[in-house]
Amino acid sequence: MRVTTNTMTDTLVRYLAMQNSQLFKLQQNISSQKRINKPSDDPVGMGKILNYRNNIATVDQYLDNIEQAKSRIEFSEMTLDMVDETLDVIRAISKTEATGTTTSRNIAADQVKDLYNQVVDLANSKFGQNFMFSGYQTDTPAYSHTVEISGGTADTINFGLSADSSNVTLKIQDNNGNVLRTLAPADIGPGSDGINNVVWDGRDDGGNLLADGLYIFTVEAFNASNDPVADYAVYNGDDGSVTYILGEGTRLSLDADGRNIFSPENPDGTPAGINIFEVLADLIYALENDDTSAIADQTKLLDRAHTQISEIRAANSPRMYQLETTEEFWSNYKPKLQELLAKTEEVDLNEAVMQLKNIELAYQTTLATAARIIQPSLLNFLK
Amino acid sequence: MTDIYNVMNIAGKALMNQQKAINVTGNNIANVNTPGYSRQKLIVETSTPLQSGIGPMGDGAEAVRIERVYDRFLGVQINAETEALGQWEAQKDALAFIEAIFDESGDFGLSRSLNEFWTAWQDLSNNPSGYNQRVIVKAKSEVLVDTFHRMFSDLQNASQGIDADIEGAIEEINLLTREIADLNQKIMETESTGYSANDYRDKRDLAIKELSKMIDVNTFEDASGRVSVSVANGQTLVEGNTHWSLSTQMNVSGTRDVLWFDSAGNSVDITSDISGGKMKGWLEVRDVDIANYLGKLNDLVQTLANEINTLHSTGFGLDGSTGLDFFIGSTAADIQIDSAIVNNLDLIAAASTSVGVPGDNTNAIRIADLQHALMMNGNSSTFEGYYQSLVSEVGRKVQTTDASYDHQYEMVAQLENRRQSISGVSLDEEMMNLVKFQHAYDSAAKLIATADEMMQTVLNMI
Repeated sequence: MRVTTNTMTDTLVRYLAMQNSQLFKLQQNISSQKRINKPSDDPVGMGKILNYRNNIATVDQYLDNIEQAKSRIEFSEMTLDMVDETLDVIRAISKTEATGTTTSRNIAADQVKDLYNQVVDLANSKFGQNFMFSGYQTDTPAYSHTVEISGGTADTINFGLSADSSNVTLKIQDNNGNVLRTLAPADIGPGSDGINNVVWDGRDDGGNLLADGLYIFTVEAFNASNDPVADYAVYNGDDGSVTYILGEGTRLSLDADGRNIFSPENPDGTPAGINIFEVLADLIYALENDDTSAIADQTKLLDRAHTQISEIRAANSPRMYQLETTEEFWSNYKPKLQELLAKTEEVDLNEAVMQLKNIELAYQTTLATAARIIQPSLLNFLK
Repeated sequence: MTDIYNVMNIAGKALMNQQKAINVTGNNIANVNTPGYSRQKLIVETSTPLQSGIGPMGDGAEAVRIERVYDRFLGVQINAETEALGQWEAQKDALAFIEAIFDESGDFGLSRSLNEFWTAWQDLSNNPSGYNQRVIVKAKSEVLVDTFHRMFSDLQNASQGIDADIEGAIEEINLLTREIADLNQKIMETESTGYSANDYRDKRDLAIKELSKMIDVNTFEDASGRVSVSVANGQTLVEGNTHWSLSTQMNVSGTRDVLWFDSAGNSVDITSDISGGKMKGWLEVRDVDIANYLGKLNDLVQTLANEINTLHSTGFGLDGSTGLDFFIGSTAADIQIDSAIVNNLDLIAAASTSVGVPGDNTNAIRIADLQHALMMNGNSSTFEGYYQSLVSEVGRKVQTTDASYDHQYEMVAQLENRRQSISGVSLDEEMMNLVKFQHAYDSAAKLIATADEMMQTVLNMI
């Protein structure tokens, strides 16, 4: 075949360009440490890389969710532990006061009142910004003397009494302690031992409808002998639970219904266990009235309350175990994903540098050959 | 009759011939790097022999014509393969730009935005009434929406870039057809004298080759040496010394159509009839590939928005509201977060019942679960999976186009080499010829000198 000068130069230029582009590609790979710098480098590999990255990010989220669930259980456990300790103190007082002289009982009653408030505060613990034991009603305290107006209608006012009383006064206040409405015994009617419901029209003393929101009320009740009747708070939440996403299709629900701990109920609303607040209120009333047999009764009920709380605490244990094993699973899974990602995405530096050396050699050889071939021509030899 | 004058005659002719030969060689050397140049040869034939007393006597040589060394069939082949090369080249360049739009190697693309959107809903499920979590859901949703917008406008830009390329190419095509028409005229005039118009033909061949790269053409040479060129569905671009122009026009979809104008000024839309060259490559990428990718992106957006809206409207916001869509719009261009939600984060519906507000996170969990739901591709792929396969598809397309281009490039290079070996100027060969003709010239000059001396001798005899 007749080969002209142009054929040789064109071919050399083509091969040099080809080697240059190979060098460029390797340079990119080495600088970025990635084998795949654009989708066309390895389309299937690119798809896999995106998949691994997404999976790793999702696993991170699951681990995050698990952390939060664990925190919640730990916090709940801590709270219930303190409740148990407080009840222990109360039980000790109660045992002592079941017998003996009367002089210490009023002091004991005041002590138990303070401890009662502590237990109420613990029942109204917040996890973050949310009340822990109110079910879905995380913006409402679980056990408190509160009543809500929404949409212009006031809820029923619920509270408990430790004895019958025909002299019950309710004072409804705002958050600053200003009394907005006083409901007199005549408006309310006689109160009974146990849970009482009072309807309120949502209006203040001047007859004006109050704004939507949460209001606090206080209860003052006296028995026939004009002795004070202790009152106790009723549950304001619902039966909601907190659900955490532990994995695709894996959920963990943590019960948040405070009643299961403090005042269990049957589905029809009848009591199904120990209502701790009722027991404490009854104890206060018994102490104030020197009713030793009642004191002894409440002491027995406090024993059962301790069992009730222990059962709840025990139920958290398998849940904690599930969280920890799931956490371990994801913690082991994640490095495997990262390894797969690295294998697919990253360049093997040794291999790349070797290839670079090879192509460099080829390139230099081509250049040297080019110089030798295209330079001489007949002109050099004609005289 | 043979005599001294005859010798002079022969020598004179020889001198002229060698001079012409050196001229042709000089022309070859000067044009060694001219693109499209075919080397020329001086064809020399022996003159008609004279009758002499001892039989026919040779009368020297005549330069008959100058021929260009040229393989016509090879020319046709090169044009055809150049057409394909043009098409692959245009596709390769246009797709490289589009690949950059789907470039996920840096982890800043749609894949990341979509994943973070889902994890934001999981965070919300951990604290459904939390203000921070709602802010994050809104922020990640805005990033997702912005990413969709950006990809749409990038694809639009790619499409417009191609339209600009098409417009530029049309101007070049019109220039080339004008040149071919002019050359037709010159060649016809030159060849009417009976001699081949070598240089003009080379130029015209080059123009036709460049035209082939741009758009698919059919050529036909008639008896008087004029080439007629037609395009697409038989519309004539060049006939004789007349040429017809192409132009572009914006159509209803916002892209440009290619038009051909006849003598009366009526236009014919030839866009769908173009089947080769760069024009075909560009049109293919613009009308098939970009439309495909945009279509898939829009599918993703529409299904995502639909599914989320369906769940979201059954849920309840912190203020008890329900029935609200989360996204408005259904294409990558117009999707937005509902402005009511943007202004009031309480409207994000995490709860599934009105009494469950604010602690119920069931609806947030349902929406987060959509991450794994097989909603795309006939219910066989997740949203993330669908996008991953779209990215792979783009990568594969670029890969195969690059491979086709490389293959075609090699093919054309081989044909060019072949053309070079037939028509190319070899400097070494021309140098040799130069020496050869120079010697012959010297010899012919010597012949004249000898004949002159002979004349002198005769004259001195008198």
